[in-house]
Amino acid sequence: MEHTYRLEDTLENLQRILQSQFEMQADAAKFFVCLLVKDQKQNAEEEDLQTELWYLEKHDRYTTPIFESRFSISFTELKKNMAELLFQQFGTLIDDKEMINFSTILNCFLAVYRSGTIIQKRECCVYYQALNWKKMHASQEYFCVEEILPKNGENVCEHLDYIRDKKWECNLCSKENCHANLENFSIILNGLCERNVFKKYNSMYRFVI
Amino acid sequence: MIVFEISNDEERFVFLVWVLMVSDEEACKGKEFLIQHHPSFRVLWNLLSRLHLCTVIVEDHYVDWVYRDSYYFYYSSKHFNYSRFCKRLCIFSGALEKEFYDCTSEEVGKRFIGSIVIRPIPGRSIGRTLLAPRYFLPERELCQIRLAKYKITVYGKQLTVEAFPYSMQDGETTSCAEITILNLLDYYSRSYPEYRYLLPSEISKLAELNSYERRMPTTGLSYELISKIFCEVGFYPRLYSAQKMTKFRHILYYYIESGIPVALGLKQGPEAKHSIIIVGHKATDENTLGKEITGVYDQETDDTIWTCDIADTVDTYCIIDDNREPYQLSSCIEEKQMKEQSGLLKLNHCEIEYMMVPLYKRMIMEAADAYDICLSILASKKLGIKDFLLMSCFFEGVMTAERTELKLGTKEMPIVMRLFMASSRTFRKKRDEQFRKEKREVRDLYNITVFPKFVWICEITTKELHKKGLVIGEIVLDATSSAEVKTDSFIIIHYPNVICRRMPEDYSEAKNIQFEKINTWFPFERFDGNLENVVGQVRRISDND
Repeated sequence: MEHTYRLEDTLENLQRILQSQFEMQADAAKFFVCLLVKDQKQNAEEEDLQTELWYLEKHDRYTTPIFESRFSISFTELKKNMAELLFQQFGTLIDDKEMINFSTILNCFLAVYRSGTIIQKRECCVYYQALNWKKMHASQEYFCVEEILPKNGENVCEHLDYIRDKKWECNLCSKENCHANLENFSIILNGLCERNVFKKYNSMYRFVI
Repeated sequence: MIVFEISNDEERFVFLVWVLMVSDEEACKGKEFLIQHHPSFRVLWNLLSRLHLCTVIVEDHYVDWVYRDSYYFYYSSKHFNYSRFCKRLCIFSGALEKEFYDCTSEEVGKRFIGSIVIRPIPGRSIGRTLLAPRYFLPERELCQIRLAKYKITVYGKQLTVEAFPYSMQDGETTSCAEITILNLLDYYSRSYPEYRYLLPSEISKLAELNSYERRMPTTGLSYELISKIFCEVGFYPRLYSAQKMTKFRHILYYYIESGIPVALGLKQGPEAKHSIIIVGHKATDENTLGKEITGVYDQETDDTIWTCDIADTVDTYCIIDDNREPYQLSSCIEEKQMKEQSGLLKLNHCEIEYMMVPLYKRMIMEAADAYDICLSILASKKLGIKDFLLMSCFFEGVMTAERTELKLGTKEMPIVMRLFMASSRTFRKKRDEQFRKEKREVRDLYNITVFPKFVWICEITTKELHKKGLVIGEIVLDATSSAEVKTDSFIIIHYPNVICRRMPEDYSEAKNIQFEKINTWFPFERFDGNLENVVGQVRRISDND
C-alpha cells in the first residue's frame, strides 16, 4: 500500500521531521518543504515569499514571528524520492541568494514534480541548460534549441563533475568533449515535451509552469 | 380504509397512478414516461421497487400538520381549488395474514416499514415520510445512521418506527432549503426537548425578517440564512465553507460520527444550488486504514508520533435529498483540478459549498481544535503515549520478540484515532456497561469523574485491534473548553495500564497532574452510542417473516 504522509508545522520543524523520519539531507529536506508548500498552494503570495526567504537564509534557528506560521504538506514516498532526485541533479542552480532565480527555478521544478515524471540521467544536461537559460531570462518564456546548446569554444564538457559523480549520463560526451548539436538536443527536448515538462510551439519551447 | 397488496410492477403502477392522481393521458404513456417526468412517481416507484411484497394501508382525509400550515398560509388563497386533506400510506412488509382491524399492534408492528404522506399537490406530492432504513439501503450494506423513534397511530394501532424524516419540496412554500430545515428540526425536536419544530409559515416569517423582497413563492434560502434560522430556534450553529478549509472531509466525518446530522449546501452548475442532509455513513473501509498517515512533532522530545485517522476510511455518506429517495449513499471525493493542486470536494458530482452544523450551546470546542489538541497530547513529553506504552503490562504480554522495538506510533505502525463527540450521559452509560466485566478498576474511576454535558472523545487503538472493534485508550476533552486552553482541556487520558483524570477544581492544577496505575487492564470495546448500525435487508421473493 502506498502511504500518503501528512504534516503540519512550522517550516523549520517540517524540515526537521523530514530529516529525522525520512533520512533526508538537510538541504534536500529544506528544498522539499519549499516545493511542497508551493505545490499545495494554500497560502497567500506573501507566505510564498516567506518560504523562499526561509530557504535562502542559512541561519540555524528562526525566531522571527513570520517564520512561526504553520504549513500543511502531504506527500508519498514516491514523490519524496522524485524531489530528492531533482535536488541531487539540479540543486546547485538554486544555491545562490537571488530570490527571483529561486522562485523561477522552483516553478520549473514544480512542473516536473506535478507531472510525476523524473528527468532521466541522459536528459539532465539538456534540462540543466534550459534551466540555466531560464535563470538568465526569467521574464522570457520561449527559447529555441540554439539558445540552450552548450557554448564552449573548446567543446569541453561543462558538466563533467555530474557525469563523474554518476548523477548524470551523457551519450554526447566523449573523452570530455561535448558533441551536443541541434538534432540530438531537439530529440531529448521533444521527449520531455511528451512528459509535460516542456511545451513546443513551432520550433520554440517553453517550460510548463 | 383502503388496502393494497403489491407484489409486482403492474400492481405497483396501478397503485401509484391512483394514489398520485395521475391523469389518464399521462398514465397511458407508461411507467418510463412517468419516471422521467413525475418526480413523486419516480421516488415512490424506486422506494416500492425495493420491497418484493408489501401491503399498503391508505388513510384518506389525513390531516398532515405541515401541509395544513402551507394550505392555510398559501394554497387556500389560490384561485384553483386545493384540498385541505392528504392521504397517508402505511407500508407493511409482506402480506397481512388477517384483516388489519383484527391484527394487534404487536402483530403489525413487527412488519411496519413506515409511513408516507401524499399531499394533494401535483408533481410534488410526497410529504412527511418516515421509513425504516434497512429496507432501502443496498442489500447487505452496513451503514451507521442517526435515527429518531417515531410513534404512529394507524386506525387505532400504535406503531413505532426508527427513521430520519424525509419530505419533498412543494416548490412554492418550500424549496430544498426549507425542507432541509423542516427535516432537521423534525429530527431534533423529536430527539431533544430543548428544540421546537418550525412550520413552513414560521420559516417564511423568519426568512422575511432577514430579506429585502417577498418570500412567497419561495426562491430558496442562502446558507447564512439557514444558519440564522437555526439560531432563532435555540441552536448555536457553525457554518463551514468547503473551499476555505483543508480538512473539510474530516470535519464532516467527526460531526456525523458524533451523531449530529448536518446540512450540506451543494452547487449544481454555475447557477443552481441545492441543499441536503447527511445522516450517517457507510461502514469504514478497513483496507484503506493507514494509507494516509499524519505526523506530529513535539519540540520538547524532538520526536514525531505517527497516527492514522478513521475519517480517512470513510468517503460514502447516507443522505436525505428531496430530489431522490431517502437514505441514498453518495461518495464525497476530492477532484483534483488541472492546474490547482488543492482538490474540489464533490458529493454526487456536485461541488460542496457549505456545511451547517446545528450545535448545542455548550458544544463550544470545534472538531478541528479537538483533533489538534488530541494530537498534541499524544505527542507531548508529559502526557504523550509513547513512554506509557513501554511501561504497559498489557503490551508486555502481547509483544514478544519485538518487545524492545515497540513500534506503535511509528510510520510502520501508526496509532489509529477515532474522534467524535458524545453526551456525557450516553458516554458514561456505555462505558459503565463495557467496563462491567474484568475492568472494574477503570469503571470506578470513570464513575467518580465529573463530566460536562458534552465531551469530545478520541479513541486510540492499533490496526489489528481496530478490526476486532477494540481500543487501547482514549482522550476525553471538555467540549465547553475553547481552543485556547489547548491540552488543559482534557478530563481523562486513558492509556494501557494508566489513567489520568481531572476534576473541575483541577483546572488551576494542570501542571501537577499525575497518572494513576491500573492493575487489571484490557483493551475495551469501541463506543457505539451515537449511530445505529443498519444492514440493508436482503430482498426475498416473499417478505413474510
